[in-house]
Amino acid sequence: MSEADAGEAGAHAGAGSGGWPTVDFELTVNGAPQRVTGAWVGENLLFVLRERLGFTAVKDGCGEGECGACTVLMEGRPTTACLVPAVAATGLAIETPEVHAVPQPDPVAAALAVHAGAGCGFCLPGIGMEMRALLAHNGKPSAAAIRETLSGHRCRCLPPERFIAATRDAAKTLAHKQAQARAQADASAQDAQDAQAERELQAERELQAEPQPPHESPIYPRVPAQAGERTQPGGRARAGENDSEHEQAGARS
Amino acid sequence: MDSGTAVADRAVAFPGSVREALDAMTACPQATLVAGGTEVMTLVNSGALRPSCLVVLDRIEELRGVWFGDQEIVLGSATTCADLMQSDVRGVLPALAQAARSIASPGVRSRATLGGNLLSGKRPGGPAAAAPTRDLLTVLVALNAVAVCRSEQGWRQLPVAELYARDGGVNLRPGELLTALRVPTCGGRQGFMKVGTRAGAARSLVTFALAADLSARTVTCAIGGFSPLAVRVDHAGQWLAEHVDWENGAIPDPTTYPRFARLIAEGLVVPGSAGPAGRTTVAVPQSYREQAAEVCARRALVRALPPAGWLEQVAQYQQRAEFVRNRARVERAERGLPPEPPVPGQMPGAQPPGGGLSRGAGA
Repeated sequence: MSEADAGEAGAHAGAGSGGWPTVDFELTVNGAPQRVTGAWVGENLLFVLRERLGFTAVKDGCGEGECGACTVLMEGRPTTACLVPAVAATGLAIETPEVHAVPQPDPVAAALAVHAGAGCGFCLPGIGMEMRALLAHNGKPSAAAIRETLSGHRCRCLPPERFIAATRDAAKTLAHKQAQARAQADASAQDAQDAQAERELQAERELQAEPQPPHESPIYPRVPAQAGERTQPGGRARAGENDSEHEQAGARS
Repeated sequence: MDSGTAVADRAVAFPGSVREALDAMTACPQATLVAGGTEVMTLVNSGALRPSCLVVLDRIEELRGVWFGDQEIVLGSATTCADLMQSDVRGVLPALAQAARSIASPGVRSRATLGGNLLSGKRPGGPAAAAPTRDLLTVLVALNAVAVCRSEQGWRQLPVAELYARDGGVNLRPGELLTALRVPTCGGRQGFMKVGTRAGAARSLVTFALAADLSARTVTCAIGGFSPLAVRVDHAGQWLAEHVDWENGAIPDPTTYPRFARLIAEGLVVPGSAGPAGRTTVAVPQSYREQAAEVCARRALVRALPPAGWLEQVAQYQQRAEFVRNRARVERAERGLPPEPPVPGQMPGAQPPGGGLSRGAGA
């Protein structure tokens, strides 16, 4: 262990001197490119994310893939960051818990806070990433599926039932949100359809209806004297009939 | 591949093909090969290994994936365990899919590769390494797989069991790359069982794999997990082949299961016939390990070859259940009781009716 510590210190200080060859590379973390310079080739992704790039939501537990605290998503798949050489992660999309829980917690983070808030919380970022990966392809996971998925995460504070409840809660919230979004999309689509239907109906009505005589056009202000004329039925009706015939003939031709 | 992102005194190579990988290995003979990294990085993190040069193999498309043929199935050596669990592999190599699923946790399986599982551990004359648990090896030995290696000198093909020295070290020559494994097709009658120290991700105490070939009328089985190696248990397989109803792919005598399991467990203590006297990977009493082997063998056999009449018996149970339901309906009618219960049409959240077990039994 002390040897490893010395190794990491060496990678920091000695830039490529004496058996600690260094590399420069670029990682894509949470959609943004991150430049890493002077890293030892043997550094793992966990160390680079935490110590060099400052993504401290990824936790350092055991360093041998047992505890799952360092789980991140690589290309959407849960991966223990401590077992990935950092250089091997170039060109792959990496997601850390920060992108989902900061500043607004997503349904998974909220469910974990409700159900697993009594623990120390060290394992929760990794468990959250695993739950997100599970819920992305299984909208209603069974208890057995949840247990199997979370089998690689060690939590020393709380029983697994809390995490099963949290996953179900998050699944429900996500389904509800999706349903809401779908309903909203449907509603807006319905609105658009209604508006279209309304427009068509309006056009139809305008075609069918008596065209307004020029003095009632909304564009031209109504002259009081002409408005007074409207109260006299005889002459007005005749003029309307004539106009209507003209208009409809014009529309059909 | 993306050489612009990682260049500094050639400490890392990202070959895009087997050819480029061999070139990179020639250019840097002491290079550490990394595909998933799940085995190498445990050593690096603990300080036991200090790589000076990495050759990253996970971007070589030639090494990833499974090719299904009529005579054989070819598994690329950089295929991940998560890929081996996919339904297409599960259909033809169920034992391999089960073995892949038994390894570690989803976070590790998404990176861990087939080749890494086989080649983890010590090289002859190489540095110290973690005690390997090659769970996939047990299945591949039972399936008579052939390892395909490529080096500058050309191809080398050998049975997968010959890839290892007697002490469990890997007999891969310097500059040689394991590219694929060729598995002859033998039908889907396979079983795999693993017993570890806990139900979740754990090192195995015993792994057992069994494959029955209905057309060739042979049974091959292998046991491993308690040492770095896996070995065929041919005497048990030959004994079992005489007790199988090959026409129906079933076992007529139910006592065959415990007798076969006993044969496997007894073989564990006979060095030379069914197990190398190698270092054990998990310290448990021998009696516990024997019992675990017995349970593994029995369950794997039930998975591969069910008892004769088992499916008929299930059908009989279903028929009887259907009969009881019909009789209840008739009796209610005779007594003048209302035929429908006082509930509305469907349970809340119930599946729409149709296609249940009872309907299938009546047909």
